[in-house]
Amino acid sequence: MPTVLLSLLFSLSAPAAGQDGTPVSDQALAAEFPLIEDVVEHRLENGWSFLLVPRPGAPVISFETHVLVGSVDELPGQTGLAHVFEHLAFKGSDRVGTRDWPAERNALEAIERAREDLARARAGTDPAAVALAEEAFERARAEADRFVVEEEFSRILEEAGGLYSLNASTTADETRYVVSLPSNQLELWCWMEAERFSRPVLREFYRECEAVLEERRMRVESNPYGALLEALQLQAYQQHPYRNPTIGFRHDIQAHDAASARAFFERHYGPQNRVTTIVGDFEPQGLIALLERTCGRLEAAPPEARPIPPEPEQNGARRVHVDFPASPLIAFGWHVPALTHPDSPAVEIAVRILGDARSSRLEQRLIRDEGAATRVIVDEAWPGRRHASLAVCIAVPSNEASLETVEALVLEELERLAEEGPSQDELVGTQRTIRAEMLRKLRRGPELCEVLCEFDAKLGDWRAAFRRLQDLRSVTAEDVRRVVATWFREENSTIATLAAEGDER
Amino acid sequence: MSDLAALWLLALAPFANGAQDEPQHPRDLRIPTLPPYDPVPASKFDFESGLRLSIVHSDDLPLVDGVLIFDSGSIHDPAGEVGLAQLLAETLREGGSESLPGLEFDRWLVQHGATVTITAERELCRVDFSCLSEHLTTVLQRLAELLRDPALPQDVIDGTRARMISDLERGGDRLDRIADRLTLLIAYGSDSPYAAEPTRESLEAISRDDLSAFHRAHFGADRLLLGVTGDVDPEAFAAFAEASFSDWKSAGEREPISAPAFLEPRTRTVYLCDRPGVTQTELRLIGPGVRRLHPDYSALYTWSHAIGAGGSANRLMVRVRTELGLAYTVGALYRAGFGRAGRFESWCGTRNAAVGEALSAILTVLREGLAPLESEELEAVKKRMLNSQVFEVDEELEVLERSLLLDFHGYPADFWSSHSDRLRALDAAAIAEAVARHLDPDRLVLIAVGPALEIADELAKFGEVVRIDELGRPVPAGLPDEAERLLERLGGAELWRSVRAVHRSGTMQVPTGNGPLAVPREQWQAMDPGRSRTEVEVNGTRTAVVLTPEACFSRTATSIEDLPADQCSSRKVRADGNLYRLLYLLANQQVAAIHHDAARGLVVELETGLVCEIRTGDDGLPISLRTLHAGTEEFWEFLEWNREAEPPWFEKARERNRGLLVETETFELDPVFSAELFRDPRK
Repeated sequence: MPTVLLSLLFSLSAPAAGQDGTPVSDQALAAEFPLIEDVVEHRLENGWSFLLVPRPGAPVISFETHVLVGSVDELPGQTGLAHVFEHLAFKGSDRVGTRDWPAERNALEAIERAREDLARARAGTDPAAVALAEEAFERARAEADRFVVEEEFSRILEEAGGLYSLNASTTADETRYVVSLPSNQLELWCWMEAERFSRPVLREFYRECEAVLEERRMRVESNPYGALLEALQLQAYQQHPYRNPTIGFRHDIQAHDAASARAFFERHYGPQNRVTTIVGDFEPQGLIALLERTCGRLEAAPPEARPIPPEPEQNGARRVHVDFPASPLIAFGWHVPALTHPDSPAVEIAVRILGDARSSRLEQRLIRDEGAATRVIVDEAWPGRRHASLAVCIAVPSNEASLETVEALVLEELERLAEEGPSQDELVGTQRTIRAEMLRKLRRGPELCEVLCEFDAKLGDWRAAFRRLQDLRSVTAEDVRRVVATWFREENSTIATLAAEGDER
Repeated sequence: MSDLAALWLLALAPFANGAQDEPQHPRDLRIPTLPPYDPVPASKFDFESGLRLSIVHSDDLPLVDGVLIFDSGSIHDPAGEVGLAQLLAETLREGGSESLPGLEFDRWLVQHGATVTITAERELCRVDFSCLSEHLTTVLQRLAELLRDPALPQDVIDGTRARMISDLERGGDRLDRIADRLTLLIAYGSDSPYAAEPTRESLEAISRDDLSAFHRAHFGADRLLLGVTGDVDPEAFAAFAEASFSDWKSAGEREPISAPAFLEPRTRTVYLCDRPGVTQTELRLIGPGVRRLHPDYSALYTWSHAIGAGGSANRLMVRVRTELGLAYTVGALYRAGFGRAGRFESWCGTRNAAVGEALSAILTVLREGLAPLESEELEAVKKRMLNSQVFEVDEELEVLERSLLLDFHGYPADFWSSHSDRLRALDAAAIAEAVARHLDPDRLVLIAVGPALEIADELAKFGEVVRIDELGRPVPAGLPDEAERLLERLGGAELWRSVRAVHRSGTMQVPTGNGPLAVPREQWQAMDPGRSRTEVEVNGTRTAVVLTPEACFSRTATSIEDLPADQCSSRKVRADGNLYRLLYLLANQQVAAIHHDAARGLVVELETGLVCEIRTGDDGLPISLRTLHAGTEEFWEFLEWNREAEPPWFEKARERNRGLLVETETFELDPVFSAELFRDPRK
């Protein structure tokens, strides 16, 4: 393995194949990435895919279940539901989290009735009736609370050793559920994961929505970066649901109800829409038998495909400004193609050359040469990678510089890259950095889980993660120049600025 | 099952059928015992030069990670030059070595697929690196050159300093960061090296010579712990490390720095840092704590995990987030790094309107936490902590890092195993006793970062509110935003600070038995001290009412008489509540109390006890002024404004209780008048 890895980092000029555009063979790929040979694929009859990577050593196992559903899949008026559901997936089932399921079920039904009454009262004009209905709704929630074993689902996994790793996240593209446990808890994880996705109970629904509103206040309303990016998305996209914030609009979060959450689950949480990666100290055949017994008993339920409106081609620069009580910020977004597009690897390299390291062009020019910025942050695909997305650059102007100065410098550097392309050193250095980063990721269980899951879910094959490295290695300086000239045009850009009211910078 | 029931139980069918023998709850599972796991221990080498080396071997991948820890953190910053250690760390990394200056060093690293970061913390400076095994000695050689003979180019120093200043001055953008910084400043005092923050002045005071001198004094093999993990031959590497560093010695002795002491105020104090315009408030409750070597640490750490640390199954998460829906993040912890600073901290981010409720809920949980934990809860907490411990040593880099930090801070080598033994042995009574020795929920210091306008009143219920800025410096209580806006809309604070008097003339309609009577009216209002003269003309007779701090009389051409005492006091007080005089008092901050209330508007209390409530419309102009004093109320509605004028003035106002309608035809700031207007001719 060592020699192979060395070649991985340094034999950049001689890839196994692919430079002429022919696909890399699986054998060639495996020769270069021996890890590939260690991955055991297993698909349950119900469609749930598992990628198992046994790794003897410390008695620990990392798990990730990647559900191919994100905010991009939400219906209009229901923004934030994917994320709310992620929170609810920790609330337990009819067996975990309840003191008395039949009684709790009745109490939950009463909440829904009280909520309907409240909606009717609010539609009317009698404030006294609204107050009464609000009281009744509160009473119904308090009644249901009596039957809840608070946080039992999380408690079980935390007590089993998942204290520091139990987590989940939602993006525009996907929802990820992660935990790492001591290896003796394998069966517990199988039982819990099957339970979570087969019989979840949406208990404490409305209170969880309140916690999500707090999360929105923290991430967007009190955070200049969150506010800036939300404005950028809304301006850059007109049709495509990538325009919606993953956390959801405030009024949508306030309007969520249990019925829409349930419909969302049924539409998107079928086993076919999930892939789970398990990395660590286990024996694969035994684990497969266990998975069959637990996760295998879920019924298949094909996910409903919903057409997602394409974003019309942008044909003019857009701008938006946010008044926010914070120091100025500027963000640029350019529409760039999805992960599957042939230009995608060159776009990734271009973005990194622009702003991903100390020696990158924007850091060098804006921060070091001109002292116009204190930070540059770039992302080659935001808010997602499943669909055509945005390449984003955020610059934090220094005290001395105006937003206009920073904007002009960024655009100048882009123009230079579009005309001259990168130097060979820049290109090779960036390619090496990407590969070194990938190697470091593959070492750690949770990160390996993330990489394999993402490519399997988005491109239908986890090997695509490794092919991507080959593709990145094949990118030429001319490719980079061409994609910058093609995609980073002014008329394809959106610029969002943020400043406190009255700040003249 | 009804449709509604189906709402809650999403998909019972696939699982409920058959499988009777399957466990119905995780407690029915038989969990095997975890095989014992002993991570590869660190091989240690101590050299005469003082250099200490730890190596954790692993040959999974041809990669090496390493860290160099120098005893040269920011607590050693010289007086007046706070930020020096941080500026040095940044400049070392950015400026490169004499042989590979500036970006040449970066390019060299990129070509070798290696990374290097340099960070100054409070107690130490750490250099982390990662590279291929076969480049280990080359990379370390380059790194040794950089650390021993740094280039420290002046332009890099200047650029880095400018960036640090910019970052500092925009440091107010993240509420949680402000709250964390204030926590240190308030816990240890701004003079403590454990809390000191760089300022523009302290950074600008640092010269290149200062950086060089600090580097010479604090960096050297005698202050260095070096650790590597990966595919390394320990003996060969030890020889190489000694050769690279052994002749490098830091210059001279230095002043010992004492451990930070928690500054506990005598009474419960609430520090409020105003961030107008945000929708959430960041809260902290802090108190004294202990360092990890303290005999009570294990007990306090365990207690923290029951009350508010780690995961979502602790009491604060359940109460404040799950049950009350008041927060997304909430917690509490006896925080103790490996170093010498330890403290108690509870934290929460909540919507502004819920600040009082959240604080009460947190304090209740903490007070309840003084009682011994139930045995079931204690067992669960122990499981959570002990079963998760394997993740602290499941990677070689973690094993290495823990070992280095124990060495650096002078902990016994068996600290972790004895900590685990102590956790296992703890009972509820011992924990409660330890907590009682350290925690008094009613003496915790509160810190709130949020919009003062919306939260100050709630905070005042928890203790004396002290306003501070984001660097912890006290700020005089200013005017609420609403008052600033009102002043701004009506000509600006600067204008009203300097206005001496206002003159208005017009008519007043007074209700009579025969319908409203129009009375010509003229009024002078002088600001400091408050005096007014109002003249009305009824049936050809002109009467003036004069109100000054000393006098209160009415006067015609032929007579003069004092007003009855009861009328007098209330009139005088009411005259102070005149809108324009209020603007003057606001602009000069001469009010006893002021706050904004959603229902009442801007509520201003004057020294005399008069309470005025001003409500404004969408355009920012006042729509009403209510004054209250000793049971009497006036309620003025401003019906028409001259918006074109500078400043705008009201042309028509009605007093609701007495039915008066005042119409102003002329309005003049600082009219020419003599003191004679207010003089009592009898004196």
